[in-house]
Amino acid sequence: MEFRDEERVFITGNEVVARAAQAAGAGYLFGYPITPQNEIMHHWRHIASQAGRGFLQTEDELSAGFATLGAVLTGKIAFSATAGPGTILFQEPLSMAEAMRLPLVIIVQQRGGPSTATVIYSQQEVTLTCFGGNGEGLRIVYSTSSHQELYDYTIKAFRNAWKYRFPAIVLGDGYQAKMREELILYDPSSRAGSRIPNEPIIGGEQVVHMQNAFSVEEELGEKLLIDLEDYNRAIPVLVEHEFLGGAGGRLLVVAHGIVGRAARQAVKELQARGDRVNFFRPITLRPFPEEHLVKACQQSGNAVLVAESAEGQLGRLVRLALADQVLTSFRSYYRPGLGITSEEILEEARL
Amino acid sequence: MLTGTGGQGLILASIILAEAAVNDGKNVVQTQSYGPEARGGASMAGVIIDIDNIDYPLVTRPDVLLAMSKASYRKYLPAVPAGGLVIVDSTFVDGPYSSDHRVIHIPITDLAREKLGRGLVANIVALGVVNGAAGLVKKQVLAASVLERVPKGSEQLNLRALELGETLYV
Repeated sequence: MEFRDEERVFITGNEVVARAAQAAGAGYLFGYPITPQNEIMHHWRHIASQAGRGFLQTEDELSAGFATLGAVLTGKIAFSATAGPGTILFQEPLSMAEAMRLPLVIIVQQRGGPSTATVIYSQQEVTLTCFGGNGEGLRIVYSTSSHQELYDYTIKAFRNAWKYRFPAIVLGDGYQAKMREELILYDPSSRAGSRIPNEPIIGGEQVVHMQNAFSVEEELGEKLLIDLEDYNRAIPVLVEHEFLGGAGGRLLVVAHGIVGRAARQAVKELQARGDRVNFFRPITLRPFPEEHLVKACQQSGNAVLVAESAEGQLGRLVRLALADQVLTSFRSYYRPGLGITSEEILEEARL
Repeated sequence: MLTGTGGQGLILASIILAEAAVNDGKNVVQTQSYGPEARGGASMAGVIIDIDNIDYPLVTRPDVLLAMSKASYRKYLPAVPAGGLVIVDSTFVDGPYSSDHRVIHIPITDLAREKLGRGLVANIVALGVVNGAAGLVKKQVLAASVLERVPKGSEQLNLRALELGETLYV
């Protein structure tokens, strides 16, 4: 490893991602530039030349995605990074990864949408990353809210993609990508359970038959049953969340990613005033921490306020998770493509 | 909040200030505005310095505003709470200035040209003024941070720029 066991740094989120991929042992990045993720490619190019890793700028995102799949098939830890319209193009390799159970890792730094829209910020790629493609969305999506989490969950994305053989996505945004913040880099190989089981998937003695096309409906049905069973079995170990508060609350504020920071601050201020407001932040958006959310909702008078920089993309996940619950109140603060401050959430959440 | 025009070096100044505050043992987040404004319009860089953990990372109500262009002064002044510290480069921004704030107006860029022969280092002069007036980080820590970031060969010029800024606010 190029750094000591632990190193405190003050860098941008994009550099954090490149350093995390390096620490996780990634060998290759195939990518096509798009703001706000460009500096991931930029920093990785430096890492590639200094640490003997591979880097290729492909002609588009389709090519970047399929090249990553090719590397993964040979047992190489590989990844890509994209955003916005690039994430749309990525749906095809992502779908193939889901079909063939390939550990594709993508970092998505969300920008505004639809289409080209704004270059820096939104939370509008939740549905696309969680459920995009013509399948069931069998993938792992981590939504990070700090540079430390960007580092931790990028490493985790590699590990869990290879362990469970589902594509994994780290969902950031342009704020996280571009801002500088302190974090601790570490060598994950010094920590328990860190090994990435990246044996070659093809190319060994055995003939491997991998399918993403089926001639008979029943064949596909049987295969999907197995995949869904594997996915559902992994859910309890994959789901992660943050909860702040306790029983007897009157309202649960739910937010993810960078908006989670604004929401946490607002909730802390309300709690300091004696207002019994709780805070819930899903870290895995897929699979969604449904049971934990249900419990948090019950501790909060079955009343929920969802804040997000999108028009209900998180809100739908929340409502789905709470569908069997008797929600006495569901309110939303949707700001598609716009940042959300703690003051705004506080204003919405206060009595 | 350090604001002005794209190309004035305010993002670099914000990174220098942020890194100095990190080295001073504080929790820090540095952000900047992008898009069209980074190519000539109003540019903004934000630095949050706190002893506690920083939840919301964007600057919404700056305690200190540096305005190095007329457009940025107009755009960002309303965000400063009454009584907040506003440092204005009067080379670019004419008075009358806000009476609701503690305004310091100094012809920062003119003085950089006159006293150092280079308007280019106005960002570092401004950084000296900001830190002198607001007392954000220790002087020697800021100087070390400047030396780490400026191009080779320009170290002495930039140190003089920082010192000039610090003496302008007395």
